[in-house]
Amino acid sequence: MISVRQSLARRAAADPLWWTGSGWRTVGSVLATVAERAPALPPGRIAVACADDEALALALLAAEGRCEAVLLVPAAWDQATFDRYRKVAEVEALVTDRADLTGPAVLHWGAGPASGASGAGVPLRETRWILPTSGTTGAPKLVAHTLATLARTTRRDEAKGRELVWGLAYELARFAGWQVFLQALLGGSRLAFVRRGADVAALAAALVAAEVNAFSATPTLWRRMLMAAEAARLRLRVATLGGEIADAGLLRSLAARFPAARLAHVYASTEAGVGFSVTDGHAGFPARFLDAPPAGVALKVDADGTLWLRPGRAAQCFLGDGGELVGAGGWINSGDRVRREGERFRFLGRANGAINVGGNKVYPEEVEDCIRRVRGVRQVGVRARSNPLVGALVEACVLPEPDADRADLKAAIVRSCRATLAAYQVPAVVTWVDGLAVNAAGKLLRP
Amino acid sequence: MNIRSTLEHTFASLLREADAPVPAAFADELVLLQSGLDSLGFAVLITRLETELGYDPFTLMSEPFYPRTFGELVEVYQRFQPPAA
Repeated sequence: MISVRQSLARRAAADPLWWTGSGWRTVGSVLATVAERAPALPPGRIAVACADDEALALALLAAEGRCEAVLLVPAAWDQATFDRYRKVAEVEALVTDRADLTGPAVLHWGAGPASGASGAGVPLRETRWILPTSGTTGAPKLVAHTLATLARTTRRDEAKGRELVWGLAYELARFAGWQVFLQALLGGSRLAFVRRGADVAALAAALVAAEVNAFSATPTLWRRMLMAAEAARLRLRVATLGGEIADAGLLRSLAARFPAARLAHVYASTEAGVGFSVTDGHAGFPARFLDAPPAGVALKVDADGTLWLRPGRAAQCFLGDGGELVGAGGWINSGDRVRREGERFRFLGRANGAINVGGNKVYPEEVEDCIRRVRGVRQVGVRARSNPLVGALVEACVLPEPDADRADLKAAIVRSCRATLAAYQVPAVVTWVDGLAVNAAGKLLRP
Repeated sequence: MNIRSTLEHTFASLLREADAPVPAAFADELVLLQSGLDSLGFAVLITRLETELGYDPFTLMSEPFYPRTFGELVEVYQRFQPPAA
C-alpha cells in the first residue's frame, strides 16, 4: 500500500492541495513542512491531540511510516479520559497544540513552521492508527487500523479525482474524517478544512469560499444545511451521507437540491470499516447485497434482525479490554437492526437504542422518520419516557416550524403516527423543544 | 385545580385519538378496562396526566393499587395530590 506522502509526492509541487480559512496551500509546501518537522516526532507510540485540523493533518503525514502507533485524540476528550485511554494504547508521548492536555513527553505541535529539534531518521514501517469509536452509547473503544484497512474503499481514479474539492467537516481524529481525508489525498483531489462546530452558516460560507464540490456529512447535518440560506450557492458533484440512517425524504430533498451530484449513503463503522455504499437514491439497501456484497464485505442478518459484517482480511482489532471485535468466523456485530421489506432491507435503528414499551421494542429512528414527514415539524428526537405500568413509553421532542399552530401540529403528529405505526410506537407525549443537540460526530443526541 | 375534570378531559381526548366512543358522562362506576382504553392506553393516560398535573400517583404510592373504576382513579389522584406550594 502506497503511503499518503508517496502518493502526494507524485503530484506537481505547485498544485494546490488543501484549504484553510486563510487560503490554499500547495502540495510542495505541505510536503516540505512535513519533511522538515517529521524528525521531531518520537518514533514509538504517540498520541496526537490537535484542535487545529491542519496541525493534525501535518502530524498524521509526519507520523506516517515513522511512528509505530498513533492514538488519535478527539476534541471531546478531557484529561481524565485521555489518561484512561493512553494507558490502553501504551502511549509514550503526547503531540498536541492543546493547552488543556498533558501527558508523557509532551511535544507542542501547531500548524506553523517547525522549531529546531531533529531526531534520528528511522526505517520506514507500517504505522498503526488507533481510532476511538464514536458510539452514541457506552464508553468508546479503541480500534487499531492500518492504512490498508482505512483506505480499503478509497477511489483511486485520479482523472476523476482531480476535479473534486472535498469539504472536511468531520473531526479528522475519527473514522469518518479519515475517509474524507484519504479520499481527497489518495484520490488526486483537493481538500478544504471546513469544520466550524455547530455554526452551519459558517460551514456553508467556508464550503462556498473553498469551492467545495464534494461533501460528506451526517443526515442531521445535511438537514440543517438544507435549511441554511448560505448553502443555496453550493454546487455539488458528490454528496455522501454517513453515520445515521438516511431516510427517503432526505435523499429526495438532496437529489432535488443537487441534481448534478452523485448521491451515496455509506454504511461504515470504526470497527468494521466501510461495509457498503448505496447509490440508488433509496433508503436502506438492496436485499441482493447479502448474496453479492458490492464492496466485498460479506453481510448477514441474524434471527433478531441484527446486521453483521465480515471484512475479510480484517487487520483491525480492539485494543485493551474492548472485547472481541471479530467473532467466530470473522463476523463483526454492527449493532444495527434491519428489517426486510420485499427486495429491500430497511434500517430500524441501533439495537441498544430501542425503547421497551411493555415488551415491545421501539426504535426511535423509525418514529422520528414518521414524525419528520408531518408538515410543521422542523426537527424531532424521540426518547423513552418511564412509565409505572409498561416500563417505558415513547416521547417525541419536537422543534416546530416558527409559523406552525402547535395544537394542530400535535394532533397531526399523533394522527400520522397512528396511521403508520403500531400503537405502542405512537408517542404518548409530544414535548416542544427549542432545539436538539448534536454530538461531536454530527449525530443527533437523543434528548 | 379540578382533578376530576382534568381526568375526564384527558381520558376523553385519548378515547377520541383511538377512535373509541366517548361516554356522555364519566360515572364513578365506569369500569376502566371496559371504557375503551386498553392497558397501553391506560399507561399513556397516566403519562399524560403526569404532564398535566405534575405528578404520578403510581410512582408515589408505596403499596401498588390498581383502580378498577373511574371513581377509584379520581380518588387515587386526589389522595396523592401534592400540597399546594
